Amino acid sequence: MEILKRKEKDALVISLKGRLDAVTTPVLEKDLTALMAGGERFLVLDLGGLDYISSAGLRTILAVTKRLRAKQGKLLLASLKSVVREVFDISGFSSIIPIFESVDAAISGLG
Amino acid sequence: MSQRTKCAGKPDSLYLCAPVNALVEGIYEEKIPLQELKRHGDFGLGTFNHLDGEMVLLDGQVYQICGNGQVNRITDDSVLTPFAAVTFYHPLSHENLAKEMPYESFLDWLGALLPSPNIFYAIRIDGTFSRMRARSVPRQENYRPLAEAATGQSLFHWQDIQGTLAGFFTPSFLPSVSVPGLHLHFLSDDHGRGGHLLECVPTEVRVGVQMIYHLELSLPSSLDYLTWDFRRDIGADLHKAEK
Repeated sequence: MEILKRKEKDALVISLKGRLDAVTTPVLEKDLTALMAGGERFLVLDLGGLDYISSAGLRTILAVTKRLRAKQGKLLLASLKSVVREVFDISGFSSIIPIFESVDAAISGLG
Repeated sequence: MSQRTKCAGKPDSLYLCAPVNALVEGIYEEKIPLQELKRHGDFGLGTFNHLDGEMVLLDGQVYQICGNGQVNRITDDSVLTPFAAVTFYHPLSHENLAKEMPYESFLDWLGALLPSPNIFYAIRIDGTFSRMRARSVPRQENYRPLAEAATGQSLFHWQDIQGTLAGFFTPSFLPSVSVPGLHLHFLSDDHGRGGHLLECVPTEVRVGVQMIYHLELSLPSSLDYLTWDFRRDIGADLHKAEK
């Protein structure tokens, strides 16, 4: 999985490319943990390049969402492919984590 | 499609034909036919009346692993069960593990696939195991507590075996309803070996995970069940019998 980061306004946009599964999730989790420890509170995950997400990936996204909420921060998801969106819908996670059509919409959603 | 919904609008649910505490107390006779189970799922595990072997339900087919290790495919849907847990299996996602992993590490690895410990999961593990340890229990008389019955269990050990582990994860706060944590039964690919999983070492497996937010619990309408005193804490007995 490829992870790219860029700052846009108050948010850090993290673009994921490839698969988010048991193999790649620890890499992302380590990365996000370091970012949160560094003070980042508003994260936008750009999932436009993500082809697959497993339950292991959902576990990390849930944990990060909780940790950011404790810091009055937010995790937003953007640009999900339909196959990834379906996993969020079936798991019920799309009712927990805000999902936007685009990164721009997500950043606007931060208000 | 609404959230967490599949199969013609019916949400994924775990169906228990009885609470496990009845089994732990030794109520091994109920009037629940396999036909009823199959109305609620094509995947799962359980046992048969009189604790006559371990049950595996895979792809809609019921298998009985007898106390002597013999495996029977049960085609008679009037056969009765005192306890079974089933669902219609359609995994949310899959993971592949392509290296040998000790059992304790494998349990940790599986745990990391579950987003929350507070819901049910159906888990199916297909592949090759360098070691597999399983058990079954010979037919028992009714009312013999499960922990006591388990002392007469038959232990099976295999090496380099291919097959499927099928079962569920249950939240820790529901031990009177189902076996808490991971509860898996094994069936070999040749349908000749199987049992209740005690330990395994996977070498190459594919793991399917299904998140389940709904529980459908049926309470038996039998004299034994309705008149039993279930106030005893069965936690220690269940741990002894299942682990």
